[in-house]
Amino acid sequence: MTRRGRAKRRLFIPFVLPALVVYAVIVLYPAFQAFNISLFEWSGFGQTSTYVGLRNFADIPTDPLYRIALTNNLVLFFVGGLAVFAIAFLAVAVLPTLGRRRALFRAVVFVPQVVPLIALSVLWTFVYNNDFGLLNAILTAVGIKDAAGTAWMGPDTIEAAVVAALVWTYAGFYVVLLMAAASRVPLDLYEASLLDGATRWQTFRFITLPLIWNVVVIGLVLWIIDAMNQFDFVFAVGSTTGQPRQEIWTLPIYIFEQAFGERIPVFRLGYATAVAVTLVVIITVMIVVLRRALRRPVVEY
Amino acid sequence: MTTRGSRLGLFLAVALVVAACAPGGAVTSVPPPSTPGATQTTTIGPSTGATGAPGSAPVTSAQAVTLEWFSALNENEPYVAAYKQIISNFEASHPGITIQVTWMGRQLSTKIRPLLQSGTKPDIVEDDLQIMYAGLQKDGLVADLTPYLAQKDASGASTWKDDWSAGSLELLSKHGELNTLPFWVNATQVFYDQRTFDKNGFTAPASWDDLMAMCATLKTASLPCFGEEGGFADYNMFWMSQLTDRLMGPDALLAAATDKTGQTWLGPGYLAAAQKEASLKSNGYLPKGFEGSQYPAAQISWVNGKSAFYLLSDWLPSELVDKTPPGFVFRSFPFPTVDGKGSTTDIELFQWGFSLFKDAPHAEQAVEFLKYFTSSDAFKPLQTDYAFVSPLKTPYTPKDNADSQDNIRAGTAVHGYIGGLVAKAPDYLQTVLEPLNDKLIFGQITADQFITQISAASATYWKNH
Repeated sequence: MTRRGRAKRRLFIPFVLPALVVYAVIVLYPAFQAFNISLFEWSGFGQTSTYVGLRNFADIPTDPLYRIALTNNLVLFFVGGLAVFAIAFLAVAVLPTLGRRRALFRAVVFVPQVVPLIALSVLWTFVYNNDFGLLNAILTAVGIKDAAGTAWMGPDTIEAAVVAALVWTYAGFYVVLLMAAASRVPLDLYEASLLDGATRWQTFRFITLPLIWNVVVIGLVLWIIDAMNQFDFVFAVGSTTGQPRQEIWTLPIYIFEQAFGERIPVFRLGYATAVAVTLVVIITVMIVVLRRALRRPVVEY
Repeated sequence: MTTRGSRLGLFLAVALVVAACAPGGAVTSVPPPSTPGATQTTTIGPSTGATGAPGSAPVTSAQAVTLEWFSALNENEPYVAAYKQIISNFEASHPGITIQVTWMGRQLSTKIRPLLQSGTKPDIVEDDLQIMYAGLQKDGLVADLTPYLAQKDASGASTWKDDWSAGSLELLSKHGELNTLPFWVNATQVFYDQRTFDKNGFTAPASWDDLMAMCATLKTASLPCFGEEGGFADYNMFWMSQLTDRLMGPDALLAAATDKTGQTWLGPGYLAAAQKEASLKSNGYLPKGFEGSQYPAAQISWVNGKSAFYLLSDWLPSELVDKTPPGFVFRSFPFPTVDGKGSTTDIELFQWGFSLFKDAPHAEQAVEFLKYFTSSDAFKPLQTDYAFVSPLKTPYTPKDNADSQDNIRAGTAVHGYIGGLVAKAPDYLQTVLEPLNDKLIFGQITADQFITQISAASATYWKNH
């Protein structure tokens, strides 16, 4: 290592240390305490808790609701992710053709990001309402008479309905993220590809995608966190009473219902915390695997 | 990106995940129960504690206190206006006592725990009594109110305990202690608009068959018989709860739910109950799309004439007080007998009330306020304007809920909301019974499949718990 490199390394520690201390106090310490709680049976109200060791963790594999919730998380991740990134890639692919309308397009798709999630979820409950909902009204207006009264939030369609609403809500962020990355790609590369007779797909595949790959990977990591930690939007769109249908429970919702509940007083804080610990592990593993699988040589430009 | 950058990115990503998933707090770091409440604003004279039998000395302005009251109501619920009037009247007549209400909504249990763990102690808490039983009461955090009830009431004319109808407090007493004061009781009833009866020449049905005959008549007029909030599993459970009660008695649902073998579900009465519940959809007596209805859409549709009946507890008129169209006349009847069995005087009761914290900073003043709140005159607007049915002995008739009050007063047996499962087997109710009951009422499974599946699922659940 050069002298300059060693000096930079020495500077790194004092600059990072304050942030690390804050991080340790407000994140790591509570996280370790959460693991501690997961070793107890505790309602969370009084001071009485019973040490149960790893029993809470041992109960998880035989818990059917845990499987349902995890499956729902994975559906959100894979199906929702496919849709979100398809929309984002499509936006990136057509970006060069938009000219000055780029900014307008970005603003329009980003709107859901500046509206509070709870407001959006209320909006979607009105869209899906079986009696007076917007979706049924539109379908009926275009001649699909059987649509009247359709229960979009019923057991057969609720998951698809929630995924669709979630994609609409989140797509804007990923569109803007990838478009911002793509806008940094030098235009002369596109011009050269046009002169060489490349199709729009070839331009996207061989120029845009490799040059924004790092941002794509970061986007996927963020999507893992969004999808696996999904609570507020699904909780609010799935129920106005604090008791969403189990067809759409995610692990964070399951944690909430077990730890706190709202109308049903389960109050199993220890078990809920054990589920939370497994969620941390799952997300961490997913991120590590994804980053390793998508590692590519960096293209400088 | 460099290798270091890559690792840092990964580290930050994991950090985000940890931060997002980690609940705060720790078992070992909580303060002892006797920690003074952080919300205490003024220290007043020596407290006799919640378990003593203190007098209720008047508070002077020099001893001004603020009572902290955590309520499970939302501030935008219609009857909160009456609460505010009661509080305002009390403060005017009791200088020196200020009431600070935190309207926590039904998330009270969620919000109150971190507050308690951080040392905050309200004086009064108000919630569904089954939820209070399963949380605060079970963990011994609320006071025994028996000594206070032996004191004079707000009028000074009689003992406070005698302000309640006979038996209503004894019902909640456990091991000689009483931790909750009910003031709002809700019986499960079948609600209707009197005009529907007048139009069709109906009278209150004496039996399930009579009720189904009425549904058949309404079907010919293309009016769904029952409104149903299909997206709300608790509400879907009213059918199973009422049918099992009528067919097999008040404790039948609880007995099946808590049978660790699951065999009780195989009894013929449970199959009959399941068949009748399933028939609601198969006969076309529920509105199209009810499966996806989200509270309060179905009850608003019902009050606007899109269905004829609504099976719910008698908070329904209270919730619809500002949404009822002109001319609508609230009436209700108890769930009828089924196959000649059961009694309409078996009451499924949802109760709402107060508790006092064991270490309430201002226990005496809090009791003084509770005496005021539960006095006839103070409580009147909640009954006459907001349809509260109460176990309090008041001379007033609850607006739009007179039928329900009559039914409760005629009651000969009482069981808890959803068969008492909310308090006694909440996790089972939420994770086993309600999902299968939803499938049954939605027509996704037959009654026979329901019985087979609930029996097996019960045995598996209890094996694991």
